[in-house]
Order: sequence, then C-alpha cells, then structure tokens
Amino acid sequence: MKRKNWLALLLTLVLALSALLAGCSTNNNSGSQSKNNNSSGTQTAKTDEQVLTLNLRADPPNLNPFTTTDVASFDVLNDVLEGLTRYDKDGQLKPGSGLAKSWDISSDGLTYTFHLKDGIKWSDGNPITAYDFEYSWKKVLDPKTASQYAYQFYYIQGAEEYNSGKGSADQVGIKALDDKTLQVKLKAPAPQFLGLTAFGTYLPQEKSFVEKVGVDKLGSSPDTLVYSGPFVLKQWNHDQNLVLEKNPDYWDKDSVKLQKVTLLIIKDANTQAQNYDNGTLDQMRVPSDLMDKYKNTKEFSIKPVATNWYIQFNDKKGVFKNANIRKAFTLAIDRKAFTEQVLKDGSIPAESIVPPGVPGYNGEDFSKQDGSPFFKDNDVQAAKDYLKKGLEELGLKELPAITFTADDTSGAKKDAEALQQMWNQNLGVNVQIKNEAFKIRLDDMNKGNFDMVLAGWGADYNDPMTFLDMWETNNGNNTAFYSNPEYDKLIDDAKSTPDLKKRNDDMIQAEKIAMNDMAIGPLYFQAYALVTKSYVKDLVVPTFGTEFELKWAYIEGKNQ
Amino acid sequence: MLNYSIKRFVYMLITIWVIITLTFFLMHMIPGDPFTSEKKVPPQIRQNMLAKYHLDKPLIVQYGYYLDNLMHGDLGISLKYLNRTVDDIIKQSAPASFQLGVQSIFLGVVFGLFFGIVAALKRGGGWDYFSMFLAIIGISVPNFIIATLLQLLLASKLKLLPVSGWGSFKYTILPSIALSFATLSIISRMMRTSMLDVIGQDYIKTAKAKGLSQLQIIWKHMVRNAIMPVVTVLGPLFAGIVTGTFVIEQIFSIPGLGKFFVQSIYDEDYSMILGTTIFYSIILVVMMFVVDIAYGLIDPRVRLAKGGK
Repeated sequence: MKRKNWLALLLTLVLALSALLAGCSTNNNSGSQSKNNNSSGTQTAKTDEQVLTLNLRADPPNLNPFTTTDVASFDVLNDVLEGLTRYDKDGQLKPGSGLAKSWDISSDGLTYTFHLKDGIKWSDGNPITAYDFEYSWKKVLDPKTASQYAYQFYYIQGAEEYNSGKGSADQVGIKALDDKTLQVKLKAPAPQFLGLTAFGTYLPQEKSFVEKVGVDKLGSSPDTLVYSGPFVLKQWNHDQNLVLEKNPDYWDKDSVKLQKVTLLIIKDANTQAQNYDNGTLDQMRVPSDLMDKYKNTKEFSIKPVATNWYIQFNDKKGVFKNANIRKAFTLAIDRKAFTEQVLKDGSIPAESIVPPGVPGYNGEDFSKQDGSPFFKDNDVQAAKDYLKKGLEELGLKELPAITFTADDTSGAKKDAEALQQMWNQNLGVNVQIKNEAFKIRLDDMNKGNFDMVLAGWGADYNDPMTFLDMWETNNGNNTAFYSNPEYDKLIDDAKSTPDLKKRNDDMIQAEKIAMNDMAIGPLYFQAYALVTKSYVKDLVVPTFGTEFELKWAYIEGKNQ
Repeated sequence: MLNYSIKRFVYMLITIWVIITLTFFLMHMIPGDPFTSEKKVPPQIRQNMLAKYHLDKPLIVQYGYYLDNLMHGDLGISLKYLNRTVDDIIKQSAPASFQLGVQSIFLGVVFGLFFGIVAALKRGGGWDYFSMFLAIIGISVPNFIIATLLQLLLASKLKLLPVSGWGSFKYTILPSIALSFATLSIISRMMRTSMLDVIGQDYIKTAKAKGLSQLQIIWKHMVRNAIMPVVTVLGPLFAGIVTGTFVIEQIFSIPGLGKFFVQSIYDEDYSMILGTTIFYSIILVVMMFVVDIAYGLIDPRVRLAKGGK
C-alpha cells in the first residue's frame, strides 16, 4: 500500500509538471495569437482609438480629496474632479477654465466672489452648487476629518481657528450666497489663493453624497466618489491599475477626446522601460541609467518641475553657523558636472532659491526678475578663500568632523558620494556621509540633529512665496534654523501688501538676502526626462501639483 | 495526539502574543511617526491626526486598544492608506502572493527533489555536476537578476510571455520560475546530502539482498528516510514565500503583499507593520505545526516518541 502511495505521488507530480509545461505552451500560443488579432483589427480601423496608457508608478494611497496629500492621488483626482479653476494647456489660470465662469476680487485683495457656470453637473446627475463648495471646504477644516492639508485653507478668515477647535464652522469666511455664488474672505492678501482653487484639497464633493457615504469612506473605491472632471474612475485594481473613462456629464466634454485612460502601477524602472518599448505604455519617465538609450530619440523631452534641491546647513550650531563656511561648501560644488554626470535626468544647476518657470509679477518668470544667479558655479578659488576666512572668524585651525546626511535610496547615496568627493577635491575636507530612511532623516532635521543635509522642496502652489516663506525664523519648515530679521520683515511685508509689484520686489529682495547669507546651498532644480510616443498629442505635463493633465490629450497617427 | 495539538495551539498563541508585543514596542522606537512629512504641519493639525488614530494616548494605552481590537479580529486602519483597513489590504493582496508562492514552491520542490535524488544516485557523474551548477546559480545569483534576465529574454525578445502584470496564468509563469530557483537550490543540495547518508546505510544493503527492485529501494527506503530534513526546512520556506516577496513582486508589478512588509516600515504605518507581522507569524507557526504532523506521517518513530511522553 505504502509503496503505491509513493508511486502515485510521483506520478501526480510528473503529470502536474507536464500539465504545467503544456499549459505554458498553449498559453503562449493563445497569447501571441490574440495579439496578432488585435493588431490586425486596429490596422483595418481608419481612425485612431482614443485610448492612452500611462504609468502612475504608485498605487494612490488615498483618493479622498479632503485628506489626501500625495502626488499619485492628486494625479488621479485632477482628472476626475474639477475645481473652481483649472490650469490650462500653457499653465495659465483664466476665468472659465474650471467650474467658476468668473470672479471678482475686492480692491483690498481680501474678498473673492466666485460665480459658477450654468448647467454644471455631478456624475450622479445633480447640479453642482456653491453650497457643495462651502460644505466640502468646511469638511476639510473640520478637526474630526483630521486633514493633513487643512492648512492650505489657512489663508481664509476663521479657518485656522475652526481647524484647531477654537472657532466654529460659521465663523469661517467661506459662504455660499446662493446656488451660483461663493464668497471667500481672506485674512491677508494672497495672490496664490486663486491658483489654490485648482489644487487637490480644494476639489469639492457633493454634500448629499458625502453625507451618504461618510467622510472617512470617501474615495475608498470608484463608487465612493462623485465625479465632476473630464473623466470618471471606472476601476481601481489595487497595485495593478486604474481605469478612467470619459465623463459624459463634464461641462467641457467637447474638449475631451480620450475615451479611456489606463494608469498602470509599475514601480520597477526596468520593467517600465520594457513596457514602453513593447508599446504597452505611451509615456514614461526615463530612469537615469537608461538615459543614453533614449536621449537621442525624437520621443525624448525634458520637463522641468517646480522643485529645488539644496544643501541644508545647520545655521544654528557647529561650523555652519558661519556664513563664510556655508559659502565655501556651496561654491566648491561643480553643479554642471553634478547634473550632467551624476543626476543625468535633465535637472539644471541652481544658483538661486526659486526655480525657473515660477511666475512673478505680471506672470513673467520670477527667476528672470530676481537677478539670479547669485554666485558662480564651481568657484574653487573663492570657496577656498571663504573657508580660510570662515575658519579665522571661528578661531579654528581646521574643520572638525562633519557629517552629511542624505536619504538611503540608491540615488541619494550616489548624489551624496559625488558631493563628498567634490568637497574633498576642491576644499580638501573629509565629509562623513550618513544615509538615513526618509522619515528618520526628517526627524533628524526637525530636531536639528545634523551638520548638513541633502534636502529638496516641491512647490505647494505656483508662486515664489512657497520657496521663500519657509526660511522665515519662526516657520515650522525652517529646519535650517536660518534667522535674519531683515528677511523676516520683507516676507511679512510681501504677505500683507495688496500691491503686487511691491510684493514681488520684497520677495526679490528677500531672496537676495538669503543668498548673501547663503542660508542654504542651492544645488539643482529638478527636471524629469520623458519619452512619449509620437502619436500622443497635447498630453500636458504641468510644472507642479500633478504629473500629467489628461483633459486635452488625444491620439493621432498611431495606425499609420 | 489531541492533547499534543491543544498544547501546541496554546504555545502558538503565546508565541504570537510575544511577537506582537515586541513588534509593537520596537516599532514605536523608530524616530518619527506615521505623520512625519516633508511639509511641516501646524501643531493643531498634527494633534487632530494623532487624536483621530489614538496616537496621542500613552503607549501602553495604545497597546491595550490594539490588543482589544485584535481580539475582535480588527487589525485597524492603515496609517498610509487612510481609507483602507489592514484586513482589506491583506485580503486583497495575499491571494496573488499565495498563488505565486505555491507555484514557485511546487516548481522548486519537484525539480529540487529530482535533481537532488539524481545527483546522489549518479554521484560524481554529469547529473551531479549539472545539479551542482544549478544550485550554485540559484544560491549565488539574486532572484531579481534571474527575473530580469527571464523578462528580457522570454518577454521582451521572444515575446512569449507578458513583461509584467497580473491576471491570467500566463502572467504567473516568469515570476514563479524566478522565485523557484532559491528553493530548488536549497532542496536539491539538501536532498543530495541526506540521500548520500542513507545510501551507505546497512538497511539499503538488506533491501538489495532481499531482492527489491531498484525503484522500490529508492522510493521506499532511500527517499522516505532522506526527505526528513527537506520537510523541516520546507515549513519556514513556505511561510516566507507565500506571504509575498518584495523584489519579485515589484519587478513583475504583481499586486501582492510583499511590498507591505517593507514599505510599511519606511512609512511607519504602525497598524500595517503589525498586521503583516501577525499574518506572517500565524502562517509560520501553523507551518511548523504542519511540519510536525508531517514528521509523524512520514516517520512512525516520531509518533511513538511523542506517545511515550
């Protein structure tokens, strides 16, 4: 009996094995056959199928517009929801671009009155009203919602008080005057407020729908959101893909040509590239080690984004208290070599704080108005002089041991080592690298546990202020502990004046002061290298906020 | 047998409780918290968030909450995926990892045993060297390299199989093969060694003298005695593989549980860290129990020893 059992087991294994192998081969055949059918099918079709496939790279952690904070979620929400405004193809904000057909701003810059379009509808067929906006925005501020991005509303009167449990919802300066009119009262003039109305946290949901679903369950699946944007979310297969389809109820549906968009979730850079090469993906971000392969193709492009990277010195303790030492370390970096040979992703050398492309006064590029660059790249002689001067001022013969903290990703390790080598070569100093997991690095920065850190900052809104007010003495994000009363005053002035020209001048002056003190050591402005199939048209890649804008994209010439 | 099982079950519960407790207090020692973020949040907002998820309470109170919820089968809400519960995430991600794990273990065990047995029988011959070669590759080449090579060759160049994704059986083939190499190597080496031990035993000579056929000797006397060490490693190996593998799942974009083991620690997603740890420990402990039972089935002496206690 026993022997038979063993033989039976062996036979089963062999059978199973052969079945498995046979399974492979039949599957292969059917796979390639269906592929052939597909291609011949599309070849006979005259017009291009309006479908697009992109890589979202991460499963959206949270599609609840009230509480979400991450890029992948904002990418999706921006396509399926509509705010009062929407940035258009060339990155401008114009009346009528979103749900508001127009707005009035009071002369003191404090009261905004938005007039909603007629005939705008939620995907459940109900009209979108100003009351939905009032309800949604106050829900974000409700302390019970515990929204991390609630502070994006702190420009509004009474918002901070309500959110911190010191005021009531009625005292918040958000009020629907009737179905079509929304009035917002700000604490102080904030030109960036208009742009914020296009931002994820400001995207509304329908009041009755939220009350039915519950705030905490909002956005947990395709049927727990009500849609108002160019697309609706049809499917969400966690860690696999999200499928969007055109929204037939969208107010501007004639501008939307794509019928279906699939957002795949592929994290591995190599796998992504293979999926681009075989035509599964229509666009991808080029990983730096594959740069050489795509760099000279017609599909290649470089897209700068509003993010700066810098060496964050500890301005409060240790040798980096001294501005000349900070200058020495900043000037001793060869940014050109760093961006071209180490990053290799199209990023550009930074010799100022505010990245190019951020609009200043009159909508012109702020980086063209501010008088940057503020120092010369790779100025080794000056760096050595500053080091000598700094050491004299500190009364030191030589530098003590210095650690340089960076993330523990392979990219950050490589970056840190390159900088370490430059400081060694140009200044003759030995810097110790300390790689830390992201949250541990942030914790160390908050506690001032560092000499210098490789850090970056992405724009919260499309205005230079997002890069400047963080270096005010009492700003929570100022973990460089930079402090200059003159700087603080200029930023405060800029934040309170309704005069936009003066505001701009104050910000320029402030940036100059910070650079003269070398509050931080600018390193590079981030850019992404992209490859896009030539048949993809008008797929907009915004400089901040989201990674793509699908509204106007279409497919043309794929089947020729 | 029943007594033994009850005793084992109680030990299992205690083990898991110790693991939970250690994990709970260790993970709270990592600097930062789930809501540490690049953009500094005003203190009142932080307070709102901590309060909502009971993180503002003393640690021991949080521990009490956690155990209480756990008793009711509630693993809590993920602190990264704010509108998903840990139960949901595990339920949604575990099947893919499980299927992949079972398939790769199956491949690894079948081929591993085969190569191990053949190598021992033909010791010093071509098969022996071939199986050694395979085992060295399987052990020394990380599976992500094997995965990438398979992907490049079979999917990108020959276009026989999909590059990545999940859905039907064809998506599972490459990752299963890539994942099976390590198992295959361990098992074939182990099987070879223990087969060689057995081959030299007197009872094999006796069996031969009795006039049993070669196949009977191999199956009844050699394999059955030699397989014990393999069964021992198979328990933990199985638990480790079916709960998900970070790298292979990432390379093939498989919606499995593997990434949550790693990513939850980076995110300091406390409930997810505990959830994955508990899930893994339960499978591991159960597998150890199954292995013990299997001993008894394969080798009657094990059962006798326990009965005598």
